[in-house]
Amino acid sequence: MSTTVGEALVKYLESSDVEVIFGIPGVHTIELYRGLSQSGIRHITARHEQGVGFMADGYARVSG
Amino acid sequence: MTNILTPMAQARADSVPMLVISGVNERSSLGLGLGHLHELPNQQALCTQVAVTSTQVSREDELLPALNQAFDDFSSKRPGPVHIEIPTDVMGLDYELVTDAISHKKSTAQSVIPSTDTAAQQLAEGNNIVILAGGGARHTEAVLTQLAEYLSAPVVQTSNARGLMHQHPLCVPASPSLKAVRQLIADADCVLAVGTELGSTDYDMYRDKAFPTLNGLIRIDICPQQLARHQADICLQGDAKLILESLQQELQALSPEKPKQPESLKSERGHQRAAQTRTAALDELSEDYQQHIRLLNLIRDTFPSSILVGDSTQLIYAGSMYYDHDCAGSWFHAATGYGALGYSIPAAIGAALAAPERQVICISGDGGAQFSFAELMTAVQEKLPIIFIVWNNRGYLEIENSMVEVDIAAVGCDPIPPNFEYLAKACSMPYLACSADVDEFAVTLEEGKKMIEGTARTQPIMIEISV
Repeated sequence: MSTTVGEALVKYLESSDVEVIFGIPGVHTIELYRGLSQSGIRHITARHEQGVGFMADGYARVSG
Repeated sequence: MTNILTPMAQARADSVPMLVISGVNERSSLGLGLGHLHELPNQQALCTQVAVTSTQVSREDELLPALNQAFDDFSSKRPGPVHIEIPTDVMGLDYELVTDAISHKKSTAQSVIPSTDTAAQQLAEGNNIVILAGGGARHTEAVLTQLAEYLSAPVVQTSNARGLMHQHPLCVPASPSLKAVRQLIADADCVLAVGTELGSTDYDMYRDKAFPTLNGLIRIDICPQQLARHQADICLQGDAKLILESLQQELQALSPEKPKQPESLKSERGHQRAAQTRTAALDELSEDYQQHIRLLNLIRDTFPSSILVGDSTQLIYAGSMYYDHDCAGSWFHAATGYGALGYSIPAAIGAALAAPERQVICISGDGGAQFSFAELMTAVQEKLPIIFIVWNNRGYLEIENSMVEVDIAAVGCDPIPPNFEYLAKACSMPYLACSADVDEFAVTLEEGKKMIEGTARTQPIMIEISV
């Protein structure tokens, strides 16, 4: 069964041991979410895209 | 996309690795200005100004190299925000990813480091050495301590380095913007700067341009562009930990007879220089700031090895000037670096997700909190046991003070805060309140600790300090 670019992205992140991602799905990005629910990646839904970025910042500082 | 540019700028300023993946309109519409949703004249050009790199995946087979490049860069260069945009009409194209082609996982290349013998020679000849540690030193604690002890060198720390060498006699957890710290640096005949950009928000917070000349400067940094920005006697480009280890080995090779413990007289002098600087630095601060630092110390001692995440608020400004956190990489805030308000609440959420076993404490002012308190609901939804401390001085008091100091009538500094008790209630979050009195705060913190434990670490709480 063929996959899409969006699904390949999720597969890449999962294969690279990414455990958590931050985002807010929108009409421009829904295709990037295809395949996410079947993956082991935890998606954190922020309330504003600025929150998305700052959460990733805090996560990176502590995990890296 | 525009909404995330501020966090990207913050991450760039503080060298935080961040992969930002965004959409963009379909390829045939780009740059035409036809009024599409989320349309910008040139989104990628905009991102290039803030991101370390910005790449458009304009064909399906460009996805893999773009991702490989991003991950390779995170591990080999000065980290920062990397942007990849995928047009909406590319996202759904057929593409099969071969996981064997993920190159960064196969990388076995050893980091190359430059020769350190000249630098070691200079350090061996120094009588009065000072080490400046920045965020790039935060993973080097063991070797940094060893080297500092070997050289009897006080270690001055920027905000992002705090937590290193906690309570060590050579630790100077004070801002190089303070006179006492500058004196220590000015008196040095050799300065070793490790992973620090020598930026003004740490080194010249008051913009008085009185930062001393750095004698015999040796700089260690992973970024060649960064090294080119300041005059230095010796520049060592590469991984800070590896370079420090190499320096330590070279020094020992230069004087093999020298015992691992430095001679006691020199060691005593190093300790004395650091201790005098600590005392004088604290004395320089206003009574208000000293009180704020006592509150920070209380938080640290109530919750050992916790992660403190701060906004631009008075407690954090005081901590930037002087605060000795108890573990490296666990004190960070937006008051230095790019300086975006509203940082702390979401950044604390990210920290809590990365370290669920550790206590995360978020400190924001009422002004900063109003930038991003919508994210409190994210903490509730994800069941994160964060303690959100709100320092409520009813406005932008630090800014108001700055305006008054230079005879400007304060305007725009009095945003009315919400009722934080009701806000906590609206978020189904337990709430505690106290004054800024140390004893009262201590009781409230203990109560907060019980609340967090009482809910099996599944719920955030809020503590409002009314100033």
